[in-house]
This record gives sequence, C-alpha cells and structure tokens, in this order.
Amino acid sequence: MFLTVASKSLLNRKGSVAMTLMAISVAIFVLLGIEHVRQQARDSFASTVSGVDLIVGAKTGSLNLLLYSVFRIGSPTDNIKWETFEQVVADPAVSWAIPISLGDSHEGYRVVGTTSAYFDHFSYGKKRRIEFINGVPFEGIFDAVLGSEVAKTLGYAVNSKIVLAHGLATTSFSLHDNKPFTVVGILAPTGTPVDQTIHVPLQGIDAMHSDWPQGPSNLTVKSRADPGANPAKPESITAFMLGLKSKMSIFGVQRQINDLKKEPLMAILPGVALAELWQMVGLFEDVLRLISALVLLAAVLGLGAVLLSSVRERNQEIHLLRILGAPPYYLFLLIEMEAVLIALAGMMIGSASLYIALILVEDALFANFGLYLEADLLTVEGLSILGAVLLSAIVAAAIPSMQIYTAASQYFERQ
Amino acid sequence: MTIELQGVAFSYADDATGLLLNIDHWTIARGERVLVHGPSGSGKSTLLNLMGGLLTCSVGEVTLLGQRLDTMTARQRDQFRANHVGYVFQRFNLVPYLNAIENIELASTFSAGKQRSSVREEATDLLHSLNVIPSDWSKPTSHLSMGQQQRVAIARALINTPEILIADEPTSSLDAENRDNFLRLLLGLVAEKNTTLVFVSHDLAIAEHFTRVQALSEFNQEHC
Repeated sequence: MFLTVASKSLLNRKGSVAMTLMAISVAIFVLLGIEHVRQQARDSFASTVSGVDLIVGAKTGSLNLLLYSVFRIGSPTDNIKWETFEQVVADPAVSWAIPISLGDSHEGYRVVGTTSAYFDHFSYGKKRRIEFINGVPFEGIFDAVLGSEVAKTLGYAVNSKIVLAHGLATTSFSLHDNKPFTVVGILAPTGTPVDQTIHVPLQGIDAMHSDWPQGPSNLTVKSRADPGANPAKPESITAFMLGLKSKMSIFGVQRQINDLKKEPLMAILPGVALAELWQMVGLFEDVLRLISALVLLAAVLGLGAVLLSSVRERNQEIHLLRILGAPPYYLFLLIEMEAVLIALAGMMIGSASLYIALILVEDALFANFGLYLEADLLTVEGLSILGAVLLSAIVAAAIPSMQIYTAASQYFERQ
Repeated sequence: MTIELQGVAFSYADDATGLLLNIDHWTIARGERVLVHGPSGSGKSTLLNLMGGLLTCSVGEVTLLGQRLDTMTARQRDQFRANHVGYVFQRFNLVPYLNAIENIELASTFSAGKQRSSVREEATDLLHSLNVIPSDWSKPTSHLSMGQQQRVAIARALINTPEILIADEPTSSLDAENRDNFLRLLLGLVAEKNTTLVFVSHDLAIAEHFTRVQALSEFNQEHC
C-alpha cells in the first residue's frame, strides 16, 4: 500500500516528476558513461603491448622509451648499433627479439622498420597476435604492411605504391620518392598504435636512405636466424623488444643490458612503464570524475527542490494521513520513497540508454578510433556508482522529508 | 462511558484571547448519536481533534473507551485513533490520486489486526451498501462527484469498525438531496454497527436524526 501511495503520488505530478527523472537519467548516463569509457580506455591502454618482456633502447627516461617504441610518440634520443643488438639477442635466455627502426613517415603516419619477427611475436590485449585482413607479411625490401587505420584513411589496398619521407611532417621536403614501397599486407584493427603504423623491413629503411640508385628490389629479408647471409645488414636500429624463455630471467637480462659497457642502453618492463604513464594520465581521470559527480549533484539538488515544493501542496494528504492514524514518520518515509523511486527509474532509464548508445556506437568507435568499448555495465564500479546515486537521492530528499515530518507533527497545533 | 471529558482546558499556543475550550464535564454513552452545533470559530473542530487525540490538552482528562488519551505518547494516540476512531470531514476525505478501494485499504493499513484479504471484501460490501456503483471504485476519487466522495468517505471511516465516528460538517458541501441521502446511509450503518457518533454541524434542520442535540456553549464555559 505504501508503495502504491508513493508511486501514484508521483504519477499524479507527472510534469515536475518527469523533468526530475530526466535530469537524474542524464546524470546516470554521464556518470556510468564516463566511468565506462575511463575503464575501457585504461584497459585498452594497458593492452597496447603484451607478451613483451623487455623493451630496450638508448639510455633515456623509461617513459620516453615506452612512448616512442610503443606509442610512436616523441623521438628517440639515440640509436643502437646492430652489433649490440646481435650481442644481446645471442643471450641464451632470449627467446625472440623484434628490432624497430623509427624516423620516417608517410602522410603523417609513422614508418617502423622491423623484421618478420614483429608479426610472429608482437601481441596486444590479452596476448592477441596481430592478424592480417589482407595480404601477407613483407618479404621484399620495398614491401610494406599497413596498419588498418592507415589503409582505411589513405585508401590503400594491397599493391598500392607508397613513397616514404624522412622526418615526420606530411610536407617533409626529403621525400624518398625514387624508392616507392609496395603494399603487400594490411593488418586487422587492434585498437593500438599498430593501426597507425606502416611496417617495412629494416633493410628497406636502410636502402631508402642509402644512395642505392634504384635498389635491388629482388632482395629478400633474411630472418635473424641467418644473419650472416644477410646482404644488407642494417647499421643501427632505434629500439628492440625482447621475449624471454623464462619470466624468471627478466630482471637478470634487464640488469645485463643496463650494465652493458659497449653502449649505454636501458631495458624497461612494459607493464611497469605503462602503469607509470597511466598515473600521469590519472589527473585527467579525476577531472572527469569530478565533472560527473557535479552533474549528479545538480540532478539530486533538482530532485530535492521538486520534492520540497511538493511538500507545500500536500497539506490535504498530511491532514488525511494523520487522521487515519499515520505517524509523522510515515510521511517522512513517503517522501523518501518517492525519491528512491525516481532514482531507481532514473537508473533504469540512464543505464538502458547508455547500453543502447554503446551498442550503437561500438562499431563506429572501434572502426574510427580503435577504441573498443564493451557494452558491459554490470561492473563493480558501475554498481557502486548506482549505489552512490541512490544514497545521494536519499540524502537530498532528507530536507523535504524533514519538512513534511515537522509539518505533520504540528499540523493540528496551529489552526 | 465511551467518551468522557473531565476538566479540559485548551487554547492554541499562538492565540492570546484566552481559553478556546473549557469543559468541566461532558460524556457520551455507547451508541449515542450526538449533534453538536454552534457558530463557526467556537471550537467545534478543536473539540473533535481533542477527542481523536490529534491535539492534547494541557489541563484535564480525555478518556475514550476507558483509556486516557492525554497520558498516551503521540505514537500511541496515532495507533489508538487508527483502531478506534473514524473521521469524516466536510471535504478532503480522500487521497485524490488513489481510487475508492485504495483509499479504504490505506485507512486499514494503519489499524492493527485485520486480514488484508478481508479488507477488500469488507470494502466492497461497504461501497455496495453506500450505493457507490462498482464502475466508480477504480477511478481516482478526484473524478467522483462530491456526493460520491462523501459516501466513499463513510466507507473509509468505517473500514476499521471503529467504536467512535466523528463527523465534522460532512454535509456542508452537499445539496439537500445528497445531504439527506448521505445522512440516511451514514445513520443506517452507524445504527447497524452500534457506533457512537459525534456529529458537528451548524445545520439544525438535521437535528431529528440524532439522539441528543447540544450547543457547544451548553457545556463549554469559554473565556472564563
């Protein structure tokens, strides 16, 4: 009966209740949406690289090394000699190595020189390997494999010819236009910087920069297993990623690399560096959370105001319920119940519309931004947000509830 | 005695004109139907509020069914009222957004010791005997005519089978035909259930229906 009274009382005041309900729903949409995107961004950030045990580069800050090697942001301080790379890789603890050479670009997209080990070992997310949606890994020196976004944005397909530039600006003057590359493969979207990368063989980078007139395009890339037979051994690379045979040896290998006399190198654990980087982004997270908390505050204050003004219109109900023997706290609870009902309805509307919105934009977001949002709202964080909304609605309704309580207790004492 | 007032003195806190009620001794026996009349502002409604425990007097004793209202806590008075006293007013007897059945059920939720299933049955019995047609039972009561609302109000007041029914000018908003109809039904039910009725009105034309007719001034020595 109590619920019937509360819900019918709300239905009786459709206009103001509907507006409040909408405000609460929007607040819940924003709160859950921001929390969801924040979490997914964190997850997709942390899953940019996985399965790599160590990243090695010239001595610099660990964040800088992570940024240029994985996120293709910023620039490397120095190169690594190919001999040093070979020396490190010769360590029996090393299972595989992906060398990378940076510094060139095409239409603003970074070019990464690497070996086929990249396609065999580099993984992201929960150890997901890179997959080809079209074509094959590079074999010839002037073959290129494109990230999904590069291919999509620039409209390249397998067999397209591309010309790479030194430096990173699109208007770079030093176009290596006598050395066009042929697209041989296009990767599936990963939601990581891989999507924005053009992959070419290490030898291709060197050949492009050398004075090779036309380049022996029949040359093929030799695998690391057979480096001696490689006719065009690169002089240097920018960084490399290592996979070790045993996780136990990570710190030992890291120390060896950091202590290398020959060349000042540093090795970082990608997980640790990613966590460090995310901490810096954390401030932005807090700002988002603050904004959504303020949206919620505005909405529950609106709820409080609507309930408060309703108290003034409810003299008849106070009179009647008191006559029937309802104690003043019954009226207190009635107002609180109305607030709870509005909050619950707002939660349903807010999360349902967010759910629908996520399903609608899911494909578009993934295709355009590589941002993968799962439409899974029933997380611990999501539920605790809903709990917080309910609690703040109850707190906001305490003022009108107290007012009707006082009015009900003193109703007959001033006639 | 069903109702007994002894040495009751009352004035509102914000009223400086002296005592509004000053009743030395006044009693009503079980089954009596008492009409109290008097000019407006003479304290009739206040008297009814004292009798239902909605107000407490600073001096004197109010005893209903052998229980002292003036020594009860507020919660006890609310509970007592729900169990033993029914009220019908001139207007605003019903929650406007609830229908007739819900209004009657709401009244029963505050009273102790009645099966929920029997409430609905009794409610429909009452509405039948009050000539409220079933198609009006599920309409919000704000959609009913004044005459119908007052008849639903009787059902609402009697659902807990109170020993005492208090009526405060319940016919003042009704035309002559509806008024007679209302009184006939009310007095019929009251007689059937042997309910003690205290009825306040300024309309002496209805006096013939009551076993006792008293002006408030007969037992209230105001401004002493």
